[in-house]
Amino acid sequence: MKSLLAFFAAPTQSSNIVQAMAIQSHQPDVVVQIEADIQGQAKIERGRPFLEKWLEGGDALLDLFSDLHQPFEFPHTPPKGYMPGVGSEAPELVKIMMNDLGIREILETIERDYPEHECKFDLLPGAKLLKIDVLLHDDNRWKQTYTLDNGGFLEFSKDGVKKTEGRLLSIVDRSWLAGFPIHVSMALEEIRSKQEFYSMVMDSTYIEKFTDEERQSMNSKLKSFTREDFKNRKRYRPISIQSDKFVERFHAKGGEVVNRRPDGIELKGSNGEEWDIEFFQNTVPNGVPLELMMVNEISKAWNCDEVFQGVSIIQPSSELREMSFKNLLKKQHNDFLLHPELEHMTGPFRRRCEALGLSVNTPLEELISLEIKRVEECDDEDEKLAFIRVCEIDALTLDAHGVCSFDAKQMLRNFNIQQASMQRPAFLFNPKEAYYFVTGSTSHDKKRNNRAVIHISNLNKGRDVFQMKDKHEWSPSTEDLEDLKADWIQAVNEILEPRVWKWNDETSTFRDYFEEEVGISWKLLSQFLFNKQMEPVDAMLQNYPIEEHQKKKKKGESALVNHLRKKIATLENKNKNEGGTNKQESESTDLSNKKKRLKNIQLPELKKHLIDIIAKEVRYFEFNESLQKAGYRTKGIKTKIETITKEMGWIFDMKGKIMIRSKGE
Amino acid sequence: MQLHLLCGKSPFLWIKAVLSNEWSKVKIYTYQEIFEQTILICAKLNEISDCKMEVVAIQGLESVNSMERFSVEFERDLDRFKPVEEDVILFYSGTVPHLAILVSKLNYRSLMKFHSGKFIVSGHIEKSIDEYKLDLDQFFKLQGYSLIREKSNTSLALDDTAGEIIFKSNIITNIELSYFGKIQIDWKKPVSSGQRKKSVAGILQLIELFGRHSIEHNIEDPIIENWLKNVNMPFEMESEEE
Repeated sequence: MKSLLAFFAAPTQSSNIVQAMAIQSHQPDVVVQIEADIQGQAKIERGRPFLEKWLEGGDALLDLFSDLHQPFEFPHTPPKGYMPGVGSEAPELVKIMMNDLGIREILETIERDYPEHECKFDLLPGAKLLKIDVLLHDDNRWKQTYTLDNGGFLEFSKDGVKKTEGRLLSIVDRSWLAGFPIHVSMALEEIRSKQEFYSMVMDSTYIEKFTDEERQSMNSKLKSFTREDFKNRKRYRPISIQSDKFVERFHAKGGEVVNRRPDGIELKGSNGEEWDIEFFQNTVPNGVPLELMMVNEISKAWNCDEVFQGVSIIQPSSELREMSFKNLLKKQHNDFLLHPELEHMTGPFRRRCEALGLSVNTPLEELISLEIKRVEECDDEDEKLAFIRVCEIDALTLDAHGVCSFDAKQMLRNFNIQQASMQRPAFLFNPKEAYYFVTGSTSHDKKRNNRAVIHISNLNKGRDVFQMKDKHEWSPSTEDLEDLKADWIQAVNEILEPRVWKWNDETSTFRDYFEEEVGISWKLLSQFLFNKQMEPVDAMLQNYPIEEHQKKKKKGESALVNHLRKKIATLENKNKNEGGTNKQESESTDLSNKKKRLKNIQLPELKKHLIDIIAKEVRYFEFNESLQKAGYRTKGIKTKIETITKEMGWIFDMKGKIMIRSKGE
Repeated sequence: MQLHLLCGKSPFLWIKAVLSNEWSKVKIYTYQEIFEQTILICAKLNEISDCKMEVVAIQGLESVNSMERFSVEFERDLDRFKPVEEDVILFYSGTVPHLAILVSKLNYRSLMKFHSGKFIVSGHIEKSIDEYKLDLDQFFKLQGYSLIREKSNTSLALDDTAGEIIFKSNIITNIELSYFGKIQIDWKKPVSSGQRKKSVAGILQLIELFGRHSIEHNIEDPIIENWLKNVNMPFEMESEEE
């Protein structure tokens, strides 16, 4: 039986998205758009026929953007266009103007014109007020449905709510349908193909201690930092790849640090993946590594249908792109003029002039036109996009909840909700306010416990993270806890050493000292190491002045020192007991031993495993995980799979949903 | 005639709906997150209206629930209610899936919407009801706030003995109730990006307090206007902190 889908079509450009979602999900033979203007509704020029062209395919939709090469060619991710069902074509599109007709008359006309069709009315598109008559239209010919964000639709009837599966509308297509070119750096398939590697990097991260370089960097900023600012900076440290423990841990997991330098690190994964990371971009900490780790965690645990990393929503017309380019260049120029003493303010403009071989005194208009030419010729995708985009989003996901955006921030100094609200493409989000998240790698203080803030270590809980009381705080792994204990014991031992104490303004009490040495707050330290049981002596200890301790030390062992010794003994005993009673846990944390126990898989054995998954929905990373669980090494596995697939005449798709299929399928 | 309604974060319209007619009974479906606020409003409404009110907690559309999961749970949750009688009118509020489920499951045959100063009932009962003229002070009082306008300052205080100020702004030029039954706020035209941000901060604070649909903001600034329409166009990109 043929099917017909009707819905209300609002006169706004962004309404193309919900209409296309409904069409893609239902895949009907006929689409009836009921066009209605509501008094007072924000109206936008109907403009180009995005929906019609989208139905014809991605290329037809792209043809509507005839100025994509202006002011220069820039990278963009093309839309896919409508995806018809097997053996079907794009639906016929029929428009009906509401004018003076009531919805009852319209529905009856459709019934007359399409007597053999199954009729559905989708309640997602269109203004809410119009739908009242549809809800009251009690006729068995019509099924009332509501399209879901990740494909499929709900059907409402007296018997209850029924869900029917359907195809989703990609985030990429949504952006084009709203009139905005889009570029994504990485999609879910690619992210998943590197999952093992990124997970290894993530699991190796550890607290990055405060350094003199960071102090210098803070001192070079416009803002003058207070003593409390410095204390906070030492207390709330990020987990990162820059800590010393990272290298040790990464090696233990089978990775290799090829090169470590003050401004970067070069990593090699156990399957030969390579990653050269610069720690800074124009003197600002480089956020990309954190972004990729964040996206990897999301792709593992959030059950998303789509995940895109590095998304640029681009200005919709050549005029707006040129205006944006000029404005941002002017802003760089102003920063250069206003803050000559600050490298991160002057550097970008100076370097642009150097790249053009021009003096910094060149008239701005001349510089702008030459810079447009230079950017046009350069190969760097990000450089082409930087000045012509509406916004850049670290990650966009699509799941049953709709489109969510994630922003990766190492430290959340000022969570600016205004800026966060401004920098989201509102047309993509429904409902608007609930789906913006900020992922940090630092345990921030309580006032950062905003609904939107999630610590990166908690992303592995998926949406259950919202049940957590302190989702903004670091959740250390068993391996992290071992390192924390070692750090704390080392810090205590240093106190007990008979030496002259070095303290400064910011480190005057034991609390300050431990927070600085370990890199987390006293609250978290006692929570993680001593299960929150703050003994009276601990309470006293945190405010005890180091200077006082220094004086008393000369007179022999104080009660305080005895207390510290006792605490170390407790922790060390705890370790021993845990080692004896919880064998499973120690097995899971001692990864270096685990690595040694993994054995190589031989080709005949691997072939058996591959035969089991032919034509099944098993991805490459999932297959690797299953091998590891079965006790096999996965280093060099790709080559082995290629050898077998070649021999057997199979197709090996490393990025697809079905990793192995026979050629006939 | 009975009125049934589903209350959302913006109570303005349903308060007016309750006060606009002498209903034999009003049944209010509300959810956990705003249950206390609903009870508080109903208690205050009972000071000016004699109608019997029943407040029922139902499944809410919380952020941990997807639309699919919510719809299934909401539909199951309604099992405890019998289909409604013919004299019951459902006020058209809440999300469309809420309404579609209520109509299909509990067989509501008359729906009431607000349009141009009137409540219009359609379906089994056809009727037009003049709106109750609620003034600004009454509206804020019903929610437990006092509106204070002094020279160029506009503030909202908690309507209790402490009178804590919860919102304050000196860039609001006018505040009144609009023809469409919303609170209309006129903001001073921003002349710098700092002032623009200040206006946005005020708007966001009011959205947080009264929801997205109760208030209409007027501001002579194309960037904020576009943002308010949820169309697009953020502020110009600023240097990013990673």
